Amino acid sequence: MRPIFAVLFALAVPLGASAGPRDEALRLAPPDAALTVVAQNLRDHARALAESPFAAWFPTTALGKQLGAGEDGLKQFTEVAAPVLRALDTTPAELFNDVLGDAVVFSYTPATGGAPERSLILVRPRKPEVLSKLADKLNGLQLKSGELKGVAEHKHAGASYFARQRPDGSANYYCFAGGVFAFSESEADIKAALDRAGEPDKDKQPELAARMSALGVSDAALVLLVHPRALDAEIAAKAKDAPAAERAGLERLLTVWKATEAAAVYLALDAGAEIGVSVRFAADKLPADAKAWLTGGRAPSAVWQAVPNDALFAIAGRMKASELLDAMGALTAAAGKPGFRDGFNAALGPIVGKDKLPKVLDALGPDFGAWVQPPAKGSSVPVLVAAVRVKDGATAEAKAALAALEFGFQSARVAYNAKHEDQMELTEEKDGEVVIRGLSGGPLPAGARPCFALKGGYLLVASAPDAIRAFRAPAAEPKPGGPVPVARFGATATRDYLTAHASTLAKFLSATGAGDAKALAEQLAALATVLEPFEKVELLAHGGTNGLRLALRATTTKPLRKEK
Amino acid sequence: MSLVLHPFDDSESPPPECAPTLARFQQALDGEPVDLTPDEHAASCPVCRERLRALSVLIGALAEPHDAEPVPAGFADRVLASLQNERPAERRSLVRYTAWAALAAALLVGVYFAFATNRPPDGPQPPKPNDLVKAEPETAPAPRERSVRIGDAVAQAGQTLRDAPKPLADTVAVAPKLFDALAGPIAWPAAQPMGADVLEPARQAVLELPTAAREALEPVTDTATKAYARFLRDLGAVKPNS
Repeated sequence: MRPIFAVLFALAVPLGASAGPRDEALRLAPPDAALTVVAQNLRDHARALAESPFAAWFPTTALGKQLGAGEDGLKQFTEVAAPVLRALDTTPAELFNDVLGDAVVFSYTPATGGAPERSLILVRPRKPEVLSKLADKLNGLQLKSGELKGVAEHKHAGASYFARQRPDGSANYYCFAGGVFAFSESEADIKAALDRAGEPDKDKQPELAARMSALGVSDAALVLLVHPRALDAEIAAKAKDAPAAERAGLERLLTVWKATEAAAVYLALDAGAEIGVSVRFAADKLPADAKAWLTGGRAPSAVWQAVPNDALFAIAGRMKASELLDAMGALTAAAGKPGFRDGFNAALGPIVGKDKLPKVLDALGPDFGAWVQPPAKGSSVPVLVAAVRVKDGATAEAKAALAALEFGFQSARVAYNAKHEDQMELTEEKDGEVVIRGLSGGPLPAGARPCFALKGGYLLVASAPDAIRAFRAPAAEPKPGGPVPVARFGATATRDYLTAHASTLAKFLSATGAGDAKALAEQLAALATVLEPFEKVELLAHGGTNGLRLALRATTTKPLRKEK
Repeated sequence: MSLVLHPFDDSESPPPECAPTLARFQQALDGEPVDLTPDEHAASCPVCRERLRALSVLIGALAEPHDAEPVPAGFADRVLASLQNERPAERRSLVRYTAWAALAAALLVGVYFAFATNRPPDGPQPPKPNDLVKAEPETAPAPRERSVRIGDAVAQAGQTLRDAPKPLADTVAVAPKLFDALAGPIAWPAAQPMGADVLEPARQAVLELPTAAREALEPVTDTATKAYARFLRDLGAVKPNS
């Protein structure tokens, strides 16, 4: 049978009415593959993007003009790809809209224990006749050019598949089953795909689709699914072969890995763009401390209420200082090395008082955060602020923490003054009832006066007293649920900062040996240009009963979707 | 199909600061093992960055496995002659002319190998009316339409796409320098008197976390790298012996 007839025959088979294109492709994919890449609805995403305010605006930007100037990689790629498309008698639009735009799946399993490497490409076209025409055209061209010496039809489980035979005796294989095109270098993988296509229960959700749902990435445009069980042996071997100093950490990771049921890296597109990692665990198999970190609902840090909108960068979380130290200790545990907590206690115990230290650490948190905000007028150095909540009523602990901070500042002052002619001072100023103590003089550049204070129930450390004056303690308790911000990069604010201070910054960087001031100024201007399409990028955590999803979400200057 | 590579204007003498970088590129063209990651100059000089990008594309194309096939007699002379015919008005120094003619010749040789000589190693061959080698073997090559070798064209397009993000990556490279320089003045007051020597092991352990995590997840990242390579290989599977 000629391939085209086999295709038409295969397409005549009715599809499961409820299955979307992605699930039709996933039904043929091996559920035990180590990695599975799923691209879905690319046509709709591309159309929405093309009609978006961002698409209309971006070419007018400096970066858009630069990328569209004619020497960018995409244009070169298009030029290089054009002869291929011409030879196949198709167009990029047809290829994208009618063949690749619905669902493309690639599954891969590395060679292990004598078993060969396996891979399978699946395409669920919108217009199968276009894909079958392309396959025939490609075969014809390659037969004519001698790249293939023949295309042979074979049968398996009552269905046809085709071997594209090369002159050296090797071959690759393809078939059409249930409206899905499958391609592989391995005949066994094509036969297995046909077996899966022939399974009777076509209304049942494919296992890989169920895994995507459980991971919360069902609607993502692009997903890389990781099947942990396929990599167990390699992870275990890695831990076993590690040097003694690293083994403790790796064995801990191995414990978490064994409790991991599924994982995915994904890209989602809506009004913005989001890339993230989603992991689902068998919670009962996780170590207790890891379970607290990796599963369960979350609430945002109250400190976000105090972070100014124009912050260049901010990070905040909810955890007591003692819990944070325990977690750091667990993460950094290594045979033959002093524990993190031991080192911390040894350093701060004598300052705070060894008996008081645990109480002080327990009183700090759970809300904490730090951010970088634009410099004050007349300065080019951004302002850093760190804030940690002090437990209500923990007056003694707050005083002890302030005393420890003062000791640190005094020690830094004495250490500097002992070695330099210009001297630093520890000064004190008032903000209402709040006392702000800080360093001044010495080598500190304009706008930098490290200081600390206790204000509104928060212990604050900042690089300028005005930042402490401007601090407003969060009024409301954070509510749990939803995506929780962990970090935020203010692209617009950073771009404004770079634009306003490029010249000063270039000279400053040049003085530190980073390079020629003129070249650095050009690089900083270019960096500002790259930031123009983005308003902000946030790191968000989505907590769940059995898993965690961490996402980097980019909010673009103009939305990626047309406003409805 | 004609390929023209003019990523930069070399009609003027290159500035002296470009000379060491150009010498390194020439070594790479001579087949010597040269590290082609951008040096300090290339990182800051847009012209040399373009040169490096073009060179990377060329070397990538030449690195594709192809069956050995002798270059026809007089081929290099014909290439040089055609280049002279294309740009007769330009007066260049012999050294620059030779260097860039070598680059262009190498590119043409690469295209020649990619498009004309990647034939199946054995077995009966179908006729190839547009074959560069067989058509007019003793005259200068003229631009002409030729049949497309799908696998080679896909590989070339892939290489072009892989090289595309480099200018953006170069631009963003200044960000860590900026962060390092700004972190100094606003850093926490020196912790030495507080017992930094005691905290040092813990600090080191924290700093090593990203490396430890990367190493621990190597089986996953290695598998992803292999999968990517396999995907490209599968896409290029339409090419014999790929």
